[in-house]
Amino acid sequence: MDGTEAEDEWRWIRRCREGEPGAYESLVRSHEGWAMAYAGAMLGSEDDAADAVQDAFVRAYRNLGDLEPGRAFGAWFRAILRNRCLDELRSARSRREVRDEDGRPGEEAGSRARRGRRGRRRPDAPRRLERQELGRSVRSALSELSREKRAVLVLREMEGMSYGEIADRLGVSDGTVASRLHHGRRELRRVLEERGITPEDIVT
Amino acid sequence: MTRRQRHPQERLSAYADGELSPEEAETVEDHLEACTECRRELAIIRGMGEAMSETGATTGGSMWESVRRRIVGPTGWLLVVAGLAVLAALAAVEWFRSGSLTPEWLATTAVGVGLGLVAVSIGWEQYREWKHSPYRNVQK
Repeated sequence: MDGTEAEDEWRWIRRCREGEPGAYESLVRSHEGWAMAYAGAMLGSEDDAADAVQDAFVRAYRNLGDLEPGRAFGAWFRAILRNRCLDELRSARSRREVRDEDGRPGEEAGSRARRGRRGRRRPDAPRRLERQELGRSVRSALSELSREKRAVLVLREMEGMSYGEIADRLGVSDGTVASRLHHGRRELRRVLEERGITPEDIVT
Repeated sequence: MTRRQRHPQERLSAYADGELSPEEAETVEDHLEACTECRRELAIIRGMGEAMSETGATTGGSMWESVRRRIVGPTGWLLVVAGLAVLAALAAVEWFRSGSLTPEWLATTAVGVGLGLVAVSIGWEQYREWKHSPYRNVQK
């Protein structure tokens, strides 16, 4: 983002702070694309992602007063969205644990069933994928990985966090982060191949 | 199989992330020079990471409407409550003044209060538009 864009963004933010909710539209529209991709990759479901992104936008709007002058809205909003997504992953895990203790099917089976229903909408992978389409495919393939692996992959690849930063956020050791990334990448590659996306599509 | 020939596996992933010590990185680099398979593996790791961050505009519609409803919701209700309060106050005055309330009077007053609120909110919007207009201080 260059200086003019940042100034424009701050003009909208000031209008929001002065009680004009309509001024928020511009901020939502310019950040929702990335936000949906991020939350979709993290949560593995478009519906959950839309809920999380909406919540994050509403939370950000209500706390706009906390944003220090001159600071970029994007980075600040990303932290809000990240917390919302990680909370969701934690609570989903505790829900699954409760269900598993009850002896009923766990969430994993449920998410497989949802994927099955969506499966027919998945386009056949063309030989040469456009980069953005490849991006969507890779993020969509993440939904077949465990939450733990998804989270580390997204924090690493979409936010560029170091192992130490990821370990702090998730409350695990650096070694666990390294191991989850390694296994997550192998699984991701396997899922992509199952979906007809070859290493050539990925590398070129 | 010598140590140098063994595929670095997990360390290759950490190498791609720049998380190895210089010594460890050098060992991996030595291996990479000699191993086509691991070079390809590294390219795939990097390719998947780059692809993940390739995000375009949203494919569906914007979520602005849903967000707007949630952030302005209370204001809409406040207007309704304010309208009802004004109507109740006018009805009380009318009751004390004439001792009765006809359905016609209530209907007319309710419409009047509604129109009044619409006019106030339009006026308020206009004022805000004017206040934020970048041309406000430009001399004609």
